[in-house]
This record gives sequence, C-alpha cells and structure tokens, in this order.
Amino acid sequence: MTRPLTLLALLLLSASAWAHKLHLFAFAEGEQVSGQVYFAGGAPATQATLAVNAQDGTSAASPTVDASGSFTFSIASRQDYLITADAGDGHRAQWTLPSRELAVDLPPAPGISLEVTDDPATSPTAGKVAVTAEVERAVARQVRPLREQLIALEQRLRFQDILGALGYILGLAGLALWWRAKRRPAAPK
Amino acid sequence: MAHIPDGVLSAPVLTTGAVLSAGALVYALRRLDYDRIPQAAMLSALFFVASLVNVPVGASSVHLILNGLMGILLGWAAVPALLVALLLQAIFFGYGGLAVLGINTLNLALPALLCAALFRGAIHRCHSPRQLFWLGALTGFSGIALTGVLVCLALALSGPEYIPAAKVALLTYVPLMLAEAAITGTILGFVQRVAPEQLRLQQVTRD
Repeated sequence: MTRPLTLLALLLLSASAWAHKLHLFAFAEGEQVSGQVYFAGGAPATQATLAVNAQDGTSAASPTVDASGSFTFSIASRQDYLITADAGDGHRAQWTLPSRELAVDLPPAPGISLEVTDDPATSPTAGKVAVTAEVERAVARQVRPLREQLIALEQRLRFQDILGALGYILGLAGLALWWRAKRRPAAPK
Repeated sequence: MAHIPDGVLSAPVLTTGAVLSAGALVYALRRLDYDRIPQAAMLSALFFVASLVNVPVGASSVHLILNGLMGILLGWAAVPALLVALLLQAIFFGYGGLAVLGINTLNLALPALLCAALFRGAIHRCHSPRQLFWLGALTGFSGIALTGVLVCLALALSGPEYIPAAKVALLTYVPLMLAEAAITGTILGFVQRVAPEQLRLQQVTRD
C-alpha cells in the first residue's frame, strides 16, 4: 500500500496545472467592458462562446474571444449584465457585471429603476457627472490589476484545503469504524 | 471532464443520475464490509488528489481517475468513496457541483462496478505477475473508456449542441486510457507482491 502513497506524493509535487474548470471575469471602464475567459491553471479558453444578457434577458452583445482568451464589448446603458461563457465541451462559467460598477454618465436602462443612494459620490448632480465619470474611469483602470490578482489568489487551489479534505475523508472513515466498534459487542462476527 | 459543472446538463439527466447514485449508495452501504473502510478512505483520498491534478495532452488536458482500480480493490465500497471525494471537490474547489453530484458519481462509479464484475474473478485467480499486469491494464483502460462514454452520453442527452464537443472529448480520453492502464496494472502488481490478501479479501467477502 505504499505505492499509492508514493504516487500521491509524486502527484502533489508535479502539480503543473490543475483540473479543468472554466473561469470568467469582466470589468467595465466607461462604456468599454473587457475581460478574460480561461481554464483553471491559466490556459485561455480560445474556443469559448460568450453571451451577454441585459437585465431583462435580452442579448446585449456577443463578443468573440481572441487567442489570449480576452474579449471586449461596449454597453449602452446602466444596468446589470450577465455574461455567460461556454467552452462547448460541458464547461461553463458566469459573471455578473452589476450596474453600480458602471460609469455614472451612462444612461440608465429604460424601465429599470436603479437603487438610489444618498451618497453624493454615486448620485452626482448634473454638472459633476463628467468629472465623476472621469475619476471613476481612472480609478477602475488603477484598481483592475488588483482585482485580477485577487481573483487569481481566490481561485488557486490551496494546500490547506486539500489537507482539509483529506482530513474529512479520514474523519468519515474514523466515524464508520467507531460505528462498527460500537455495534460489534452486540453482534460479534 | 469527470467534473461536469452545474447548469450544463438537463433536468431529466440530473434526476436520473441522482436517483441511480442514491440507489447504488444505499445498496453499497447496506453491504459495506467494515474491514475495507481504511482502504476505501485511502483510495478516496487518492482519487481526490489525483483528479485535481491536470496533465496537458495536446490542446486539452486530462487528469487521472483511477476508477477501475477502485472497483477492483473496493467493489461496492467504491460508490461511497467516489461520492465523498466528489462532494469534497465540489465544496472546497467548486469542481463539478452539488446538483450534478449524482450524475458525476454515476459516471465514475458505474464503470468501477462493471470493472469489478468483469475482472475481479480473473484477477483473483491470476498468479503470474505478467498476466496480472495486463488484467490490471485492461481494467484501467475499460474504467476510463466507460466513463468517457457515459460523460458523452450525459452531454448528448442534455443537448444536441454538445455532440461534436463530446466526440472531441472522447479523443482526449485515449492517452488517459493508456496512462490509467499502465498505472492500474502497476499498482495491482505491487499490491499482489506486498499484500496479496487485499486481492483475496474480495473473494471472501463477495461469497
């Protein structure tokens, strides 16, 4: 039984890439939305098809993915957008682009009421809209690498998670054995 | 591809998978041999880690599954072992999902059970190491081949748009079948050398 253990250790050491899972993210800068679709481990999902749906379910854009897995599209109004990527082989990922992340100078979508906040930064007077939009764009540009880094961190398989799961398996086996030990005096084998 | 995510398969496929898996699980737990629990836990852990690690093959990438081996060494206990590992992968890493847990378990456990039914007797009777290796190889090969067919079937039954992709996915299974064949053969040969009772125990508990 040591061979499987050696194998396990080898697999842990030679973990070059991790299992298949499709990931997707997108951020807005002004009316331009750009993002990336990729498999866990970083390989771009070049063959994925994308669908962008507006809040009322209508299709807002259908961007194509380039060789690096990136895509861009532009939006015309301020509302929630749902982006769905389908790699075609049974892998799928979704990303919601909430209206509060979109530029203030975009017109709100007809028929959709956005939540009104009292914060002067998010509900500016008409004269300040242009300035606020400019600031938002600059901040979005600056913050973007940080957000991408956060996403990458979040999606990394963590060693302690793997150990935790192995602990669960061990614990379940222990529970089953305890159950057996408890019942054995009554019914000896 | 052993981890089909949520939101891809249609409801009838999901329900069928869940019902069949639940049935298999109940049956497996009823006839569970408690002496096999440590082994089941170890193979469950092995599957958990092995199927998280991807090896690039051509344009795609594959991961070990080892369900043929689990079937031979565990018999029906392979069902709870696979289910627990898949559940933990879904919870910890979001691989697969909870709604698809049933069908994903079925895709892996059914080939394991079939491998056990087909090859376990022959493996038990086999005494030459060379013959055992080839029997093990056949087991590993069939385990993956059957899983590949089941995954494609689940996709094809859910939507015809997945059929071309499913065919491509089957092709990427070919190198995996060969790798699993070699690994399963080697592991079984090793088990027979160091702990032959692990292969015998099956026969005793089965009858």
